[in-house]
Amino acid sequence: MKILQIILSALILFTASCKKSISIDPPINQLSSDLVFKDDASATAALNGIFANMTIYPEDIFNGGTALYAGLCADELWYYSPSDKQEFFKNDIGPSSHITIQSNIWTPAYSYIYGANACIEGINASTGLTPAGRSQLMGEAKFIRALSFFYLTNLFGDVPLQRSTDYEINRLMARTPKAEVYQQIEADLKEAEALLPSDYATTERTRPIKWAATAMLARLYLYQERWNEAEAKATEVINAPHYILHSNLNDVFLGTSKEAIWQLKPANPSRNTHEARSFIPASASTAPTYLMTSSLIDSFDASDKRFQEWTKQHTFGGQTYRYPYKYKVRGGPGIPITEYCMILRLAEMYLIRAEARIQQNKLTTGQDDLNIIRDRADLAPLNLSEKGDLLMAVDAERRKELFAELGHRWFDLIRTNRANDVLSLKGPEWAPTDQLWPLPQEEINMNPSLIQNPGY
Amino acid sequence: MELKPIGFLRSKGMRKYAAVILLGFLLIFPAHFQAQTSVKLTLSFSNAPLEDVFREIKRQSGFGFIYTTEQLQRAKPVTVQLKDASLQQALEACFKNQPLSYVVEDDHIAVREAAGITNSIPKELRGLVVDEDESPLPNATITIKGKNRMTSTDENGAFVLSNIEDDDVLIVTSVGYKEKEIPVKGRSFIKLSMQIRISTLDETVVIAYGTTTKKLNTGTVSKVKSQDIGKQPVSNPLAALQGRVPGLMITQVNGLPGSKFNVLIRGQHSIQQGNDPLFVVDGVPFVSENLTQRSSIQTHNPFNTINPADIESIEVLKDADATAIYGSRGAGGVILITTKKAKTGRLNVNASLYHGWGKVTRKQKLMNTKQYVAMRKEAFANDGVTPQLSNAYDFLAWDSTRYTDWQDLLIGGTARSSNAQVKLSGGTAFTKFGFGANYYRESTVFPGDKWADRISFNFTGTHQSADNRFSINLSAMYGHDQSRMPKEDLAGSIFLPPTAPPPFDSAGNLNWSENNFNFTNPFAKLLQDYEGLTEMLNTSLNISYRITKGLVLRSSAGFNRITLDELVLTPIASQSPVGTPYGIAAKTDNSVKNWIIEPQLEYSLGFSRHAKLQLLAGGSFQNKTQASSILDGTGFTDDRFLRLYSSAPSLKLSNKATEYKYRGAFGRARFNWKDKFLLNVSARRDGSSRFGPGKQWANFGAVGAGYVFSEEQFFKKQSALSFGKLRVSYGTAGNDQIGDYQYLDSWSPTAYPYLNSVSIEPSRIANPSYSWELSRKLEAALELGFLKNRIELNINWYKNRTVDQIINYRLPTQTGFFSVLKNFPGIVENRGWEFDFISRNIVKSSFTWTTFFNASVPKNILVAFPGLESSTYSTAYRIGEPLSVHLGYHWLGVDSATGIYQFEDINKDGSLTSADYHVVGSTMPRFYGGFGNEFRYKKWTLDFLFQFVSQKGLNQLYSGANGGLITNQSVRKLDRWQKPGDRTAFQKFSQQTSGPIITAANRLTTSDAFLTDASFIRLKNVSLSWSLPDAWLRKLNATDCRLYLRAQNLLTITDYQVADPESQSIYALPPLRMMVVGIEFNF
Repeated sequence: MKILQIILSALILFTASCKKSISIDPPINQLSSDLVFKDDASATAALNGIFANMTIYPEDIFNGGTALYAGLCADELWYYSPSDKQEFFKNDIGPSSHITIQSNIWTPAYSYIYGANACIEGINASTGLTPAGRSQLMGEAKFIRALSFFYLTNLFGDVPLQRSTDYEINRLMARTPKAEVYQQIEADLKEAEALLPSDYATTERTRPIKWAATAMLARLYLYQERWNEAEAKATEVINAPHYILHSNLNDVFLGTSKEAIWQLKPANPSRNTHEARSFIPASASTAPTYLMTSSLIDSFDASDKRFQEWTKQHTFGGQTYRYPYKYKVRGGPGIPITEYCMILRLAEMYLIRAEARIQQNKLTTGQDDLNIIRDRADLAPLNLSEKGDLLMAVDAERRKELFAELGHRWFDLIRTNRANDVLSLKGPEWAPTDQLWPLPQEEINMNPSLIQNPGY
Repeated sequence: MELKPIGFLRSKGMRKYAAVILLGFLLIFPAHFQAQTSVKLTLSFSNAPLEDVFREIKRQSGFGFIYTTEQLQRAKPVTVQLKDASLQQALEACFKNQPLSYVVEDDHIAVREAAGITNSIPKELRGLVVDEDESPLPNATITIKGKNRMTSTDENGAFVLSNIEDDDVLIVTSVGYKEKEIPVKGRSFIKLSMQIRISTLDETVVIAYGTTTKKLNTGTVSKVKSQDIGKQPVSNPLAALQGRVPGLMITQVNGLPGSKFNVLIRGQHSIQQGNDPLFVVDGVPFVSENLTQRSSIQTHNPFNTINPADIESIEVLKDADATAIYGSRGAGGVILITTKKAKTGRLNVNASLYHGWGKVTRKQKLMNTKQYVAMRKEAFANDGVTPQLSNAYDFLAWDSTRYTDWQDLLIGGTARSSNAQVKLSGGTAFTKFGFGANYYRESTVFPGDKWADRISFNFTGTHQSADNRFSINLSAMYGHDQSRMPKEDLAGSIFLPPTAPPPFDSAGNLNWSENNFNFTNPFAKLLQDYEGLTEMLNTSLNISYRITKGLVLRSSAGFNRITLDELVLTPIASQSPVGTPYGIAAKTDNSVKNWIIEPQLEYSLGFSRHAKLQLLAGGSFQNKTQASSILDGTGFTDDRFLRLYSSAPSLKLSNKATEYKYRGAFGRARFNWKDKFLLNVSARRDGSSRFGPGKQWANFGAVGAGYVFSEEQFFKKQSALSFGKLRVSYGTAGNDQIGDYQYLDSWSPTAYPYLNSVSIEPSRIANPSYSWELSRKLEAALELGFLKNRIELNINWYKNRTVDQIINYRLPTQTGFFSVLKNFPGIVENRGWEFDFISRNIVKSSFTWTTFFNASVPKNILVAFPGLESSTYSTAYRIGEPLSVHLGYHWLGVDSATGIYQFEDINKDGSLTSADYHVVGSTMPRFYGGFGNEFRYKKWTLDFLFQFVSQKGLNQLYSGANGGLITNQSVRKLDRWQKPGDRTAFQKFSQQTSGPIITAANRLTTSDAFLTDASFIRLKNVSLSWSLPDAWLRKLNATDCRLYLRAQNLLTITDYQVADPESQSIYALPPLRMMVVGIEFNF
């Protein structure tokens, strides 16, 4: 029986020693949260990750997705081959497009929001960051969160407003009224404006600085019809020392653009921008993909330099088609990345200020802003005196200047209440409820608190 | 109590041991010899037996003698004349020249062996070993018990041993015969008759941390022996288990060399996590999952590195009694692979060689050009669309009269397999070694030079100390498995239109188009190589030391390392020149390292002659690291540079690494009373790094009991039932096949870095709260043997419930993630019956006939899944149905008016949604098993094995594209709707890619029409062999030489249409029908 005692005590010793031996180091190619926010370098990597993901996946919200799908929904673009994408063009979104919306818009936007929230929480909990690093990184995180919610709420209306990483709170969250979402966006942008540096760290404009937040505030106030504040914010950006309007339109979308307020540099080394890949046909003999609508083509004067430089013709099967050609490099392995994905640029600020001024009855200065943009396109200056005419002129100029860029046209038609008038011309499928996209059905299935938009 | 000190004395050999026992007596009875010295003795004997002299001494002195009859037999006659001699003088005179000596005790004289003198003159022993029919038995091994010497019989069954002592004991063994022990008893010639081993009851069965016999086992363990594995011409040892083991379902994924086998013991127990059994090779856990990150064709299964001929046995452990001791890894059952160990005997050389040919088991009947073009034209007519070059190039631009049988061209070839191996083995009772080398090569049925080969080596060495207390065994296995396969399975390309351009142009170059219309040339895929190299090293060391009687300290230690290097090349030459193709080189290096140390202490004690208790305690220390690096080079503009990765215009590198630590302490108590009542209690405490802090440790345990009722007197009186055992077991085992680090919130590198600086993204939500999946297993079994165990029948019933299911719980993506791992109160039950039957119909030395049969009737039920209806799994599972349930629409056939498939709107809401799904059925087998016969007649043996499965499978007739598109179709699809009023199996042809017809075709794949009977009976294996006559063997100087013919998958009987009922895919290469011829020598 002594032997049994020995065995038992050996066993007890053994198990006791085991508790320690089971612990393992974290995986070598992954980091746990507490390590990520230990210092500036690793915390910067976390924000880099969000920017990288914004540019990696084709047709994601900021990587062509909004430009293409909102462009199809508006009167800018159409799609050559018969496919699901026709549903966006016909404003008749069905089940397969729900999946597109989910995988390309909804899910990526919320993953950037999760990343931003994780950064905000990590930076708040961290003790190892320098004051400058903390300020910049927090500013970037808030800016990303605001930007993502801005697009979500304009595409879907009320959306769940996630401000933490806790999945138990987030998974059953209902839709937050758009006004409340806007409040959060404004608060985040104001904080970002205060926290971010006012100068670019490098010659490129690949990280958002203060003026990106200011520019987004200008756009937010414009959408909220807070004309006075919109004018003030647009003016701040226009007066900032960094920005000029390139007279050569071919310089605008380059990585060296001085018009850029914020651009995303494609992270995949064998790609340039995804827009270029979507619009430019692969070869002279291949079928076109996304094409400009005839109404967009017709809106240009033949002498408009934007028509000459930013659009291009493609001949296929004896027919000619025209596609957006702001980005000119399709890219590929070994082809250098020269064009960056434009998120915010100066021309929009002039157009915001023009509209805000005209709305405040500052018709002359408003028209001046408009003429700056027209002048660059080699168009004669306008000389209008009626507010209504001027506003229509702003709308026309925005359409031609910002076409095929991040859904500007779609949002403009909706915020100016002209969507019904304009888009019902496209065909009988248009219904007023089409101004908001449906929430992806699968998301509703998983979260019963989500209520679908009317009309779907 | 009295014998207690003995165990601690070091005894060497039998004689010293006897002396020690006597010494023990001396200690117990203190001598008062001095008091008796005054005795005077008078003896007068001439050539008298020693016994008579002893009797006289006792009469005169009162001192009795202790001796054995055997001692007396050896004693020489005594001649002695003494008067008034002392006792000592008398004894000296008597023991003079005797092979014996003596010790005087208090009132006894103990006779012992003479010190320093051998008790007999060493001599030569001749012998003859015969079987029951008095025929000589060659190759029987004769060992002298406890001595480092042995020999074997010649072809006449004769043997000679020199230097034999009279008290030596011989052990005679011969394959297929019962082991026999026989004392020499001074004889110089011995004739031995060996009995054929009929029953498997006394055969060794390998179990967790030890061995037992089938008779005494309390758990459910099925054993497959080397003979059954070796006679199947397969490269993967798992393939040899098909149809042989009840409760074990093995399916081949495809027919390519090295392809993966899915292994499931007693059904799917985990809804989402791993369902693999734990594989243990010589005590070392083996990697069961495919490591590949590049191959879509699932070749390079790590098991392919093991030569099936190196395996001694495979034991499949199923119930809690057998698996609970594996704790958190035992829920899916355990498969123990034991390699061949060296055998005692003179140097044995075994060489074998085979060559084989293989064809796919099944081809599809596809449309010829006439049928195809007619189908296309009909599709256009149905759609009211005029064929134009752009949509009908397959018969307008391409030659519409050309016929290419792509199936024949791509998978109609003959695969060849060759195998060569040499094995050496030999040694003494104390030191043995074995060495084997093998080369195996298999080609494919594809055109071109695609192949896989294996080189493997195997070494095993054993040493045992002369006193049998210490033993050490080392086994090492190395495998080198290489392949050149196409990146994709070409079987997926057989549906090219028969009008498609020829693969090569007149100049012999790859063809890409005809009349400017491109096609995907499958021969280009042959230029896209998947090169894989798996290397496997498995070493296992077992050391055992008997500390004292009954107490053994053992330790097993093992290491295995598996690496897989993969290279996938996509040269420019293999791509259509349309556009600007560039070359791609994709490379991965994967490695798994695994070491384990398991010290054990075993204590056996007998309370009485009938009651035996065996206690085992031990611990496990296991570490496993897995790493891979992935390199993607793209943009090559010249194919010659594809292997010079640094020259890639765009290069991407990523790496992965995981670590797994596993610790455990286990104990087992086995109690045996009279071989009648058996009790086995096992327990394990387990820790795994795969779970978060506070959740890492868990306890598992099982109780098994057996009652061998045939040991009761009542049964001993009759002869029909020779063996009967009833046993039950209950216990728990866990499942930790969830991958590493799942509890950590972690950040990983993004696919590409932003601005070329480090970029990381959240890769997992923190979730420390989940724990093991737990399986509770209940088992009852009846084991019967009839007619001296010529017939054996086992019946098992089991009911396993797995709770705390770990589910990848789908999250709405507004959380930022798709899912989180959660323990979920879902319950999965597997229950069923298993039958295993073997009958040795004829057992004669010249003719044996054995029939075997096994069957499993499993049932798999999802018992609980709270919130199923509202979860994302509502269209995948149903309570009360198997996990493999198929939910779908009710198919109403083809609408005879419109020609489109119709489905029932079950909830009458006017639209077809998942709310209209009903339970269509399940792909879970209803029953499966195998049966076969083995005949042995003189020099001939014939074995065959049938495998049968009763199941439903996916209806491959309805798989693939709808008829009418630019894809060839099965001729069965000609039974299609053409005009109103038609009643057909298939809807009308259409060339549309979307719209109601395509929607209906898609719906059909989630309807009851898509599930059909896929039962089959397959002649899995046939083996015919013939041994050369003895006279020829003598000329060859060989002990044995056999010629054989073997076949795999020779015949399949099934109603299943189009595809193979096992792999069930029209896009994957079906399993092959292999035929091999071979020869085997033993020298």
